[in-house]
Amino acid sequence: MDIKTIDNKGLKELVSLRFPNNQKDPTTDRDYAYLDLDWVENEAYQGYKHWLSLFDFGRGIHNSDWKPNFDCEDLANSFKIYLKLLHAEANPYTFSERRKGKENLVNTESALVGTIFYRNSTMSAHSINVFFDDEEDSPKFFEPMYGKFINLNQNEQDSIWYVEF
Amino acid sequence: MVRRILTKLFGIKALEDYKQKVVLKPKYLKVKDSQK
Repeated sequence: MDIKTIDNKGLKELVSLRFPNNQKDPTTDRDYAYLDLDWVENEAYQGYKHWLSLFDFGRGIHNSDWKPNFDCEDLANSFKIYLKLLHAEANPYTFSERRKGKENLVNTESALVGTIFYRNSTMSAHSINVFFDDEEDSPKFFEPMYGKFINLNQNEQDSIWYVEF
Repeated sequence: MVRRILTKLFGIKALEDYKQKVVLKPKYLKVKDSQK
């Protein structure tokens, strides 16, 4: 199966192009596999909610899982980690095992899901997830508080100072 | 830990039901012919 992937260097260039005000190295892995964004929104997010339901947070703002001690960057980071756990579960074989004939779906070190920080007003900041889609590698922003892809206006996109995949 | 608690409280079926809801198979984007 030919799965679309991007290597560390390519992702750095893409982030630099799309988020020129990013202040840090956005990569932590050698290469990444693109995820199907319909699957992310419609199936993976439900699995994430079941995963979170183990922890008895109670209900937060607007019936979300947001809490003062588990807020936006915690939601974004935990959704990212959840997707990376699924990636690791689905692709368990090491290099040595693959040399003996075992096969993963894809051998990338990670799935392509990131966390961003941006300014959503002059006085406040917010954290959500970012993906890249198949068309022209445009960024797609995902609000893990509600499980939906959202649009950021140009000012918000220009304000992004932290990106990590 | 979670495995032990669920198994103790509800049995192995509860654990399997839970795992089925949480441990999903990722769906990846495939390379289009035009991108090869």
